[in-house]
Amino acid sequence: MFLEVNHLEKSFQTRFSKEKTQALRDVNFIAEEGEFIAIMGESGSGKTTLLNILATLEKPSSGEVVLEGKKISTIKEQQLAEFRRDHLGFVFQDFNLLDTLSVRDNIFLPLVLGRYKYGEMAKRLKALAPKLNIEDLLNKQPFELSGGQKQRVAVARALITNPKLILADEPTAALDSKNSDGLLELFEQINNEGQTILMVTHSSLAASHASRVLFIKDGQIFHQLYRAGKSNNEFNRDITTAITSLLGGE
Amino acid sequence: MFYLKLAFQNIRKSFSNFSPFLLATTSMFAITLILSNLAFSKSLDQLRGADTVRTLMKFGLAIIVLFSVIIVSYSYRFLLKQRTREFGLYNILGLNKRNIATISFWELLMTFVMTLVAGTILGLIFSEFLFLIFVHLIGGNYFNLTVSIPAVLLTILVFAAIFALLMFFAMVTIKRNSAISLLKDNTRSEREPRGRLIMSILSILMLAVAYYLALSVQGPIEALLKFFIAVVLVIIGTYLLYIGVTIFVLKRQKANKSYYYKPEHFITTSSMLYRMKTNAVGLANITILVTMTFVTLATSVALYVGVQKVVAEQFPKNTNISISGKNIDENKAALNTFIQENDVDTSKAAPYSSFTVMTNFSVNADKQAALPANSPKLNDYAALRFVTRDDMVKLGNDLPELASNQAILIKHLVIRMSNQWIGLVKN
Repeated sequence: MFLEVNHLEKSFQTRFSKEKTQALRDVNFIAEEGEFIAIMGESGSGKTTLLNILATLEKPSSGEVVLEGKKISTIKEQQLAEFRRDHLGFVFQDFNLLDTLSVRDNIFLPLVLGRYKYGEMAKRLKALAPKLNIEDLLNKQPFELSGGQKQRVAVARALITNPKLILADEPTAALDSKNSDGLLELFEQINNEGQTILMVTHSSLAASHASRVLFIKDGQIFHQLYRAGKSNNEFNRDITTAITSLLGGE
Repeated sequence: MFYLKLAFQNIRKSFSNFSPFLLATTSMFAITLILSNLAFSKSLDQLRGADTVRTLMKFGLAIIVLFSVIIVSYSYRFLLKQRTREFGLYNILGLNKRNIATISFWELLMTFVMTLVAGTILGLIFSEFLFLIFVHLIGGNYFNLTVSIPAVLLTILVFAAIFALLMFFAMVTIKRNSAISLLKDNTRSEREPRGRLIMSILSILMLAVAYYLALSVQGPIEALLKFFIAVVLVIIGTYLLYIGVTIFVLKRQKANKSYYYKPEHFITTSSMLYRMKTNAVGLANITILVTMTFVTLATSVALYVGVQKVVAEQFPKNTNISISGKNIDENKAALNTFIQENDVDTSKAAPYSSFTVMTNFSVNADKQAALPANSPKLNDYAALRFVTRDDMVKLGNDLPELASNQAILIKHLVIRMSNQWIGLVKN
């Protein structure tokens, strides 16, 4: 079993009010290595909280997350950053590239923080750059790039550590439809090469590129769809139908 | 070493972020160094009234240190705010909070060293320059300022303490801001500020006390200490005014529904509320700086212009020959010897004798003086200079006839003036 989520609960108590919000209630699912899973839900459904817990950025109130037999919800704060660096890759909605670093240095950042040797960094980038079509961008500064280019650089930064799992939080939300398509095709391509990806999104088009879609509502996973060999368009139609009938439309 | 390198790169690569902070620390360091150098330098002993200058400079130093703490920590918090995103990214991509704190530590240490070097150079150059202006203003002729090592050490020590405070800020910020703030909405909406009633009351109280102190000062001796306290109170009061009172007033306006829900008040009040919350300290900084500039300008000009007048009054004749000693007859003899030896033309001279005692006295409403005072206060002390009535009249004063054993008390340090007499001393 690659990733196992058991009875995950999370409740928030905001600092300024006494009310408790139940963000996740009894979430269970299993993911196999090499899957491309999309988690879909409206805003406030708990999908971002779920991603944050998988990313070890938040601790669950109860329940556990097991990645390759290791309970990640019990890792100590001191070791968490290291764990994230070695096992997880992140793609954010708004890219989060550092403007003060060149594109190349942005991609190297996690390796630099992990104290890799320069030769190793260069070797990995050389293998990775053509796949993501960013060879010409390496010497530029982030502000010179378009949104789509920025997100490809961010994907490179996520992939360069050879993570077990890529976590993507609404990666297409800040992109236009052409760049969105490009990015999703890229995700499909790296997934085909064996990379496990977990993506949170509220766009059915984005989700239609995944191999499996989990639907989350009011903090619970209540439905899932497998692609099962369908084309993107067919799968998209299925997802839309599911949303309309199950969520009551969006 | 790794974190040191990373910190160095951070400063180099995001110099545009660091430069305002560096500018703030360096200039405040230089100003503090200038004042402490003037206050502690041995060169000051060459000047008349060195002790007074020293005391004043030390008061100034205390205020500048207070101000440095505020300005430097303000600019550092501004820098930190810009970098929470960067820190968050480090945290997600593989550094734990302790590592990030280490980077901050090196960054601060490097900024400190840069501040130290640049600030010392600037401070020493400008203290020499300002000393020249200062000596010129007070009409001295000793123009060489020797560097005071204790002054430099004191400044370094003060700034080491300030940087330790900054490190504390950094640690709190890093601890409080989790990596999650990155994934969440970056433009996290700011919470509406709270009422701040206590702050407002404190602010108004402090300003009231400060202005009362400043306006109620009687004599110059009392003024020194009271004025210092008043200045410190005004500075703190002004900050609280901006941080507390503005918010308090705006909140009250917002609470008043019939006032708030009008097109001309609705948007201005609500946006002012948030703007004041983020910019209060900056605005207070500007206010205090402007006030300081005004005060400095006004007093310098007043002093400088006033000096001419005082000199003209104090030395009505071109030449003033004075011999001082305990025995009047010996003094007179010495003066005569001097006049004969130097062949001084005494045809227009107005000789007089005087002796001075430091004592206390008081004058009641009927212009009757009591010597010593009944219950002496600080302002009752003064240097009393005794001159015979005949000498005073010869010097050009218009005085009433005196009975024997009577004296007139005249206000001022100046002998020849159309003096207004303020009291009679009997016996």
